[in-house]
Amino acid sequence: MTYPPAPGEPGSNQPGEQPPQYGQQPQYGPPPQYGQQPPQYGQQPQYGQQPPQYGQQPQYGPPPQYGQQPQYGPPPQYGQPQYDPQAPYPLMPPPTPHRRRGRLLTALTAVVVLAGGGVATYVALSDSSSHGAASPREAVDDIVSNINSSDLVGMLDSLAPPERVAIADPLIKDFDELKRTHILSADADLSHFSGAAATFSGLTYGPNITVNDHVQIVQITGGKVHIDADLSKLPFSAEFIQQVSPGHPLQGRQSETVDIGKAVHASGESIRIATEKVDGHWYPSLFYTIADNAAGAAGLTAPSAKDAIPAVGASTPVDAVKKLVDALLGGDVSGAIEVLSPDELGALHDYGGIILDQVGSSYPAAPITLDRLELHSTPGSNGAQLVVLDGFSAHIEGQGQISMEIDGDCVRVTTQGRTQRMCTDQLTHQIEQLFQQSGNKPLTDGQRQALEDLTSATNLQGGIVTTQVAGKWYVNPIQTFFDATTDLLQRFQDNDLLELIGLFKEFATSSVSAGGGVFCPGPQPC
Amino acid sequence: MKGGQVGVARAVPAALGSAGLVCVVIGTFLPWLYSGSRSRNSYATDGAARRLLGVTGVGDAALAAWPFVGLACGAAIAALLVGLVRTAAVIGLLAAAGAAAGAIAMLTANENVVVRTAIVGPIVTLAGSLAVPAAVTIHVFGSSRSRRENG
Repeated sequence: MTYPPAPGEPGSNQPGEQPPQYGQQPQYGPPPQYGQQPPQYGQQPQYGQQPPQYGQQPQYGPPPQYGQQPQYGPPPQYGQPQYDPQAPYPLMPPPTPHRRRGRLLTALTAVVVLAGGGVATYVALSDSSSHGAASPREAVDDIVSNINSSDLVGMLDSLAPPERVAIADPLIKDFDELKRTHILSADADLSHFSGAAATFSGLTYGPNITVNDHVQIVQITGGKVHIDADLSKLPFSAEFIQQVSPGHPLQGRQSETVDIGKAVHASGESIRIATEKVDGHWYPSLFYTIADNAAGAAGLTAPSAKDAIPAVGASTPVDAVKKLVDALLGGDVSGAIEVLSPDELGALHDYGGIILDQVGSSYPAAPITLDRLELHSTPGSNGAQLVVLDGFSAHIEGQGQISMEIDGDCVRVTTQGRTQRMCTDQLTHQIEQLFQQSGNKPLTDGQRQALEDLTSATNLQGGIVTTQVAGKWYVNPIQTFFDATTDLLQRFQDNDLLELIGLFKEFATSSVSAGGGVFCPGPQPC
Repeated sequence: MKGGQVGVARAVPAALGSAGLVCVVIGTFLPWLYSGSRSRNSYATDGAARRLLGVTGVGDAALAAWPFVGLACGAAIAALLVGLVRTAAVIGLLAAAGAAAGAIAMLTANENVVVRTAIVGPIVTLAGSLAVPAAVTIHVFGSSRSRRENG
């Protein structure tokens, strides 16, 4: 069934309108008549006629003119209005010079705005990534400037990247946890540390000491440092101060200006700050500074490149920890340093030679033979792997065989053929009994809760942090320590730490009064 | 709607959106974090957070993209100037949403993180961010109204 086309649809001819004829071939002039000769492109050669001579071009008449439109009559009329080609276009008049200028101006403004965004991004990227200094002395100047501004964020940010990773993140987290557990006051602010401030001025420097291609020691030989300390402004909470020093709030203020030049002259030693070069930029290094000052205090000279202990590492995180355990039990100092992260403890590698000179390349091995050490690794943050203990079996001289397996919150220990299973709740109970017996009074609910949280915080699943450097795995002791601290603090509830401090104080007091030998403060023998 | 009214109806959201985006960019360069006696703009704060806090995953990607807020705002205004209104709206809304998220994160971080946040930078950025969706809304309603009136 067909319907007549609706008005407006193709095929519906409205009176007076000339709709386009869809489906119909446009008329390009009259078609050629049947029997009429097609267009003559020269004449076909006739039989009997001489074929064209080779070398002679056949005569086909003039070729059609390419590039020229063939003349097929007037173009089709689709109902468009007829415009006078000479008349201006009614809807899109040619742009006037004024409008052209306006458009050009708009386009230019757009380009300028876009360029402004680009400049803002360039400045933003510079601000975002600005760290490191061009020279060791500039690196020291940077951190001195941060100290003068009490800018702790800047101080941490100016440290060498591996140290920053090891220290900054856990320090910030621990600070937050100490606030949460009421050790620090609620308004304590790491970015505005109150109670102590130091201001350096007029610093003068001696010649730098080059340790190796990536470590230089900057010597401060003169200038002044002004130290302001106000105990009452330290960011401890009132509860914490009451707990550690009841009835005696922290008080006392000291302000002092030290002439560094005079101090250096009197001691004969400059203030030495080690700097480390990482990716072409210089940073102050806390660990190298500690190592350098320790070496100086021991009367040792700065190490040379030949003193360095190479970073060897291991093929897997578990192997790295096993190698470290073997080296430590075997008394192999050099072997232990070889598997420590050269990023985190580069100072230990570079100062390794002089450490060995001091303590010897080995120490007496522990009287333990490790038969079995079962570990596994789990992913940690920033690409690190946490190596976790599953169990071990060892022979201890004089004690016999001992083995231990970790089973969730419980530990299964086998000594001399006898197996004992100890879980964290049992541990809590034993500690409670110990404190009750020593204090001769029952624990408060808060103290009991704090002890339960403490034992649950004894994280049996805690791991050793390992990281990969140049394809090898290394142990990171500093990160492991800070991770464990943060993990422990995160498990404490509100006043747990304050309760534990109180409990230990009671325990210590009762032990002293009972002559228990825990603390013997007086001159008389306990 | 008369021609003059149409012009005003188009100019108001364009001006509001552009002003909002400019505010976003200005706000990001104002103080966002105080540490000691030193202040940091949003980009210095962003860099310090990435280096010190060990942020990973989506957070790290967001912090890495933050310096490009200015470029996105510039691109949105440029698109608006050359008449690409929809493109301008899309880029502007994305930039404003990102900037607003950053500003809100910083303003609410005061309670949780051990930093002393500055108010002025995040507030200016947030105000600018809110102006952009307002401008887009005005433009959309204005357009539909003018279409209705023109039949």
